[in-house]
Amino acid sequence: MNINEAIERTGVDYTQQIVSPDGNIYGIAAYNQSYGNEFRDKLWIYQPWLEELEQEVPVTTEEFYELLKMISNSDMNGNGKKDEIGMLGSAGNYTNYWKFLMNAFTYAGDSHFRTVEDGIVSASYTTDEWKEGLKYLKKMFDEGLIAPESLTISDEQFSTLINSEDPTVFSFVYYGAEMVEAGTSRQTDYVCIDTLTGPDGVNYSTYVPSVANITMVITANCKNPEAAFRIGDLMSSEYIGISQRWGEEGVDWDYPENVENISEYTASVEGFDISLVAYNDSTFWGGTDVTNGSWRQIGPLVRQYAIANGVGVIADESNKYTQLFNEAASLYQNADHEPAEVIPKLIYTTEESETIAEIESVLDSYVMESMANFVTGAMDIDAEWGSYLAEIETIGLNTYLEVVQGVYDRMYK
Amino acid sequence: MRVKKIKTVIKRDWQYYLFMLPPLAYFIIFKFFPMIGLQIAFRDYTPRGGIWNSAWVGLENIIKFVESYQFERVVKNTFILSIYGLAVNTIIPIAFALIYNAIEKPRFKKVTQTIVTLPHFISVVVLVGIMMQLLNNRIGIYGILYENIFGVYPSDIFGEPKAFRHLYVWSSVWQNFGWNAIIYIATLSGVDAGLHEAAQLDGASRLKRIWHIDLPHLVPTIVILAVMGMGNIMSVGFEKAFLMQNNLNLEYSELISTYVYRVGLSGGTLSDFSYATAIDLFNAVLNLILIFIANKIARRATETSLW
Repeated sequence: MNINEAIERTGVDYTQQIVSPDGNIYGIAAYNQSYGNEFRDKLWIYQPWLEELEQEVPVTTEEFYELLKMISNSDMNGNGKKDEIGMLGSAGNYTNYWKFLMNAFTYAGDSHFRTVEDGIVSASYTTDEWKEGLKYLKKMFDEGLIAPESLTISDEQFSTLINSEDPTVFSFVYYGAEMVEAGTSRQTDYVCIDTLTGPDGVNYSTYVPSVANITMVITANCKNPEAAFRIGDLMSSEYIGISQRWGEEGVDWDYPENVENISEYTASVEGFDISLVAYNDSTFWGGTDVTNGSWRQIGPLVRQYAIANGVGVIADESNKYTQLFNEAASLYQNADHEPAEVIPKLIYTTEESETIAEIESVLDSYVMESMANFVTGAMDIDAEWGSYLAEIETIGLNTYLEVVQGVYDRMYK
Repeated sequence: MRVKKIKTVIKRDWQYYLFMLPPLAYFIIFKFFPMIGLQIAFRDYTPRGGIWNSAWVGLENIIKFVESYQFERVVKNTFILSIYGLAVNTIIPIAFALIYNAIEKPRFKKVTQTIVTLPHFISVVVLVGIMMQLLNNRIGIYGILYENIFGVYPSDIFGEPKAFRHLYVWSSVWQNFGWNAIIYIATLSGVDAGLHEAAQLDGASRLKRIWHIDLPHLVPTIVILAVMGMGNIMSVGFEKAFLMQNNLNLEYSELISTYVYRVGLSGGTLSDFSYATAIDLFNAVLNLILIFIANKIARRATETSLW
């Protein structure tokens, strides 16, 4: 079976992640391993200014603070205006500058701020370390090193500021390099640097493991369920996994042994063998033509790390964005700062989801709202920390953690 | 006897009844038919059980909302924002209509009306985008002008929680006052010119004429529109508030409608459809009660009412 073979080549029994609470599996999954997507929050800094100031790449939060201070107090771009921004964020979902900095104090957790240690799930935002992280963030906001509008602006405005005529933004956190306009010198002026170490030596990178999701089910009306299943199984093979993403072999991509000038290519992540060479990848997502070569990843597919990381690129010539993205990803992968345990994915029963659906959404928004109020000074960190914790209890943190722990134990113990 | 009468009436005026069919179909298909789904507010909805076979739970979901952590905040925010919006969006168009009516240059009038009506056709998403762009403290006109005058960049307006309501209401005034004034302008054109002439002969000033002739003529229209406005009071537009929301202004910007979205739809696998439906139903019932009260008050006070 292709599915068994897929489990073998990925090294992960991904089918475990689609088991229903009743113990059965009701569908066929898509599972795509990729470093780039696993390390969400990457710090990008404007290299020319670092060189101009003859500074080293910052390693600790303190060095980062001093560096930002230096930058926002000097007219780096020489336009006579005080418009230098040390660090910029946005209200969008992928510009987690605060999470990135918080990770130097305590692991800020997954998208619902949950962490796992020794199999015990807890909330990162009730810890004293979180409080220390808030104080650091507040210091940065107070001194204008993080632009205050980071809490409100949209991703479009964020991108406009980064690409403004005179460079103004020194650093930002984003998934990849796509916020900087492609094809300009600025694209390579921003370089990705490693996560920072906090005063107590804490250093984490936000880690979201690749997970499997059901993308194919067979309905009760299917006349020949066995044949349908065999298609799902076929689609779990490596070959279909590749053509689901890159298209037709020999036209859109080729195995390395069939590429004439293969010696000019290198794997996009160091240390991997070239898995394939894509000929017209840049048109894949942006293209509007309907093609029959690829289904653009609809339906089951399974790809191991070696495929995405081994895509052949010609240095400086092929898609610059892919190269920057993969370089940044392997930097974080090699730095090895991801937490030992995370929650890959949870599948709830109806009762479980009813118990915590509201609590989770209210908790998430309360934590984010309070974070914004703490760092801007609308709420005092020391004086109102107690009432903040009490409020979280009232919303129902205990109930929430209890349910999540139960689901976690059921799925991963 | 009566049925026969109805039949003859329909036979005689069948063209009119034919015209009524499309709107009737519209209301049945898009307004009444979906109400079947409302029952999940009283059920424990599961995808497997669907609308018809999920278990009944009675008023549980509504009670859960009333007792919930967010209840007070979202109801209060929704109420204040609506009342504020209704008041301003009634007064400004009336004032505009009165001034407009007093202008005597037809070309100028036509151009003005076109200009003030146009923004109504901008979609809310675009409007919020324009607003954020203009008021951005660094790259917007506001920020650039401020920097040129004072030498520093201003603070971020969108980060000021209290600014939310004003931004919300006054941007909708800018967008809609021209459109809302149309009905008042139309009513004013029906004022008997003889009244104005007589008043002028008696030496009444322009302001006096507006106060004693135009305004009383408008009262029934104002009352009807205000009563209908009351009916929409708790259903403030979801999109705009949602688009303008950020972590700093949640204290003022979390409304019933945005909360329904948060609980009911944005949670992914963790969504409670029954609960979200119950909240929205609660909202609709509240609206119905408000419109009844408003109508009663209007009938007592001005002898004009919806029914």
